[in-house]
Amino acid sequence: METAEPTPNANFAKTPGDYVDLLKRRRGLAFITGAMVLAAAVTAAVVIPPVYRSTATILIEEPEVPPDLVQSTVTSYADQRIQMIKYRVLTSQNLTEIMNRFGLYEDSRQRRPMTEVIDNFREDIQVEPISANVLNPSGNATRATIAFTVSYDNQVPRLAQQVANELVTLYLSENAKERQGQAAAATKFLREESDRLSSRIRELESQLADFKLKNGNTLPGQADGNRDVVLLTQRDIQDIDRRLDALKERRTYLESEIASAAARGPMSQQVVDATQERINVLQAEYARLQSTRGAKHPEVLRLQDEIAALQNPQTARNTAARNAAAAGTTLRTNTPAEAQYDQLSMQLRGQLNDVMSEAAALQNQRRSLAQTLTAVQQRVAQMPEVERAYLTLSRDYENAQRMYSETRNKQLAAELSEQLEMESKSERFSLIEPPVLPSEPEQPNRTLIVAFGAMLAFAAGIGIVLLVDLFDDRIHGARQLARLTGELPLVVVPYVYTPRERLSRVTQQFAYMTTVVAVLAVGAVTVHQRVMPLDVLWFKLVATGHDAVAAVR
Amino acid sequence: MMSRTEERLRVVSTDAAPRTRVIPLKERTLRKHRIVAPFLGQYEADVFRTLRTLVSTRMTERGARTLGICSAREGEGKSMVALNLAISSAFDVNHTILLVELDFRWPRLHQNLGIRVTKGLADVLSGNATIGECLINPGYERLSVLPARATLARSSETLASPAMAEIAKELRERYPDRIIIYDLPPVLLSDDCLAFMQHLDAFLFVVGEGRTAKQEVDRALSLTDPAKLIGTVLNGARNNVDKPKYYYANH
Repeated sequence: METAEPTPNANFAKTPGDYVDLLKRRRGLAFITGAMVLAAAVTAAVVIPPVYRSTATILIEEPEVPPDLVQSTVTSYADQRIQMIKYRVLTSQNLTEIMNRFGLYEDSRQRRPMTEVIDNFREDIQVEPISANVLNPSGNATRATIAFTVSYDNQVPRLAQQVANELVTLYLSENAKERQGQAAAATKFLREESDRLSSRIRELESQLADFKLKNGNTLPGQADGNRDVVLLTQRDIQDIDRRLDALKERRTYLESEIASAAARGPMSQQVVDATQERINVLQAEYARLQSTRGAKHPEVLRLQDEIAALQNPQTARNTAARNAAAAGTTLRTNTPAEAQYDQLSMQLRGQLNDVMSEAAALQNQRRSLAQTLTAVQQRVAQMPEVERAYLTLSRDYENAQRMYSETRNKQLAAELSEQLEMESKSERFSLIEPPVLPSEPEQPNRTLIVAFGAMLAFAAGIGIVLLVDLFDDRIHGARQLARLTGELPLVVVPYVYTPRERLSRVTQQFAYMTTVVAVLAVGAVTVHQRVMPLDVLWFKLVATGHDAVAAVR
Repeated sequence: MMSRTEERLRVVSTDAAPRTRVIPLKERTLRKHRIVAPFLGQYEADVFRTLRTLVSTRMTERGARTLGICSAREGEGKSMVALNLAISSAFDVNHTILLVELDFRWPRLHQNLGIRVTKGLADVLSGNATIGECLINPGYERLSVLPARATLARSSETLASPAMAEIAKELRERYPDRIIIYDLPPVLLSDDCLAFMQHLDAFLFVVGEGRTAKQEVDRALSLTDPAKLIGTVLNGARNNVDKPKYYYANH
């Protein structure tokens, strides 16, 4: 009992005892609340209609041909595939069809929109994977999905089984279809890809050929050739130059020979010289007269004729002969020596002409060689650029070829895999446990509901007491008073019961106890008759307890 | 056991004024009205004895002779505490005790004691009686009571009236070694508690467990003179009370 020796610095905080007092004080409220919650739970446990679940187990079987031999193109994980198939199987169409066939959800269909009913149907279907610890190909331990269950819930056991059966069938056939479809799709894609690549290769080939054609001389391979041509051409030009030089020398020689021959040759040369001299004179005269008398002056014209006549060798000779005759000398005809000399002279002149024409020809040749050289040098200058373009083109071509060969390989592999799927030699689903007719309901778990309800009742009782106390601002307990006044009360006087109060209290408690016992008895009888016999319930509880302990271990 | 108690109760008054009536009390009545102090050896009686000791010590420290018993509201057991304290104090040989009932809204001191009164403080205030005529000895040495007897109109103004002041003065001077315990009306229900405080040397504040709100207690205390407060009493606690078993042996 708290009595006061004032402890000025004491902290009159709430103790657990205060909470116990609170509960004791408000036990009625706690009890009633708890009882109501528990009653609700029990009612729920009793009233909720049972739902039966029929479950089938499907095993994911290993492929018959090891994946090392033929790699499958269906590479998604089993979990993923299961879920994917779930969405393909549980389409509105399929579900509606099943609903109609078995007459499911009749009353829901009348009251609710179809989409909602189908959603409810879907929620009643469970697909759960079963995994285990396995060794993957590289020898490490992992968890893999080795099987899965398909189940359906319904209030009628028979329907649960039948519909589960339907679903399983759908699942199995859908899986096979899907795998084949996937393999075929892979093959198709690869085939198209390899076709595309081969046409690209052809295109590049023709581009390459055109290029080679267009740039035949400037291709990288031509470098040496071009260089050789340049060298050779340059050498040829040098050659020609040398020959030209030689010819020039010869010409000089011939000219000098001719000159000296002319010096030796008497008359003919005299005649020639005289004629030439006469021509020069006349030409000077002509020039003078033309300028003073004009071009049409008869004198001028006569001079013109004379000059022309002199220039003609034959007339020149005749004139010379006439002149000689006029001069009283005769034109000497050629002696054999002179004839020989003339011949020599003519030979020399002929040789000189040959040399000249040869030189001219060589000059032409040299010109054309120089042109060739220039052209080839231009080509060489263009080569780097051409080389670049060529390399690009040939690289594209090589890449295309490589990709093509890769794709071809993949395509072949895919075709093999497709074959595998079609003959069902790869991984497949097989039914190892067909759906059974459920004998016991899956839901509701009545014991669980009642147990949970009991816990909730307990919590609710306490909770509501705490809640009410929150709003209670009256003073309970010496410590609370102390918090207010700063000092514990001098004494705490207990409640003094008058004799009458004591009696009524006893009566009250008695009535209380009786009620509790009565309620429990009624509850027990109800449970015994309506839910399950009490001894069975007892054994179930014991079994559940054992399971719980085992699970914890 | 009944006779033994009755024995204890039938006491001839000693130093009370010759005119004080002596009325023996019946146990049944006492129990009915939650008077436990006489039943020495019981736990509740011991509680009041402790209270008496503590109060006495503190009053002696202050040299106080008059003690008021207040509470915030009615129904907190203030009158019960006052009476029990008075009876318990009467067992202490050092003082005589006078218990004065000032709660004119609901006067029941005489009922609690199971005695009929013809004249009470109400009559004194209305001029129909003298103090001496109203004093009663309920059968304990050194204890006298002055019941109110009846309600008064405008009772809330009574305590501040000059008549009341006169009575307080007279009571105080008349018996110099007497301790006067005033059973005051609830602080929040009467306007003039503070006014009467001047006649008190000390007061005790009674709080009924689970009856009063915290702010009411606060407010009530603010209407009193804190310097004169010598302590609080928590009354009517049903929980958190350790009653050692051996207390029941005597009952």
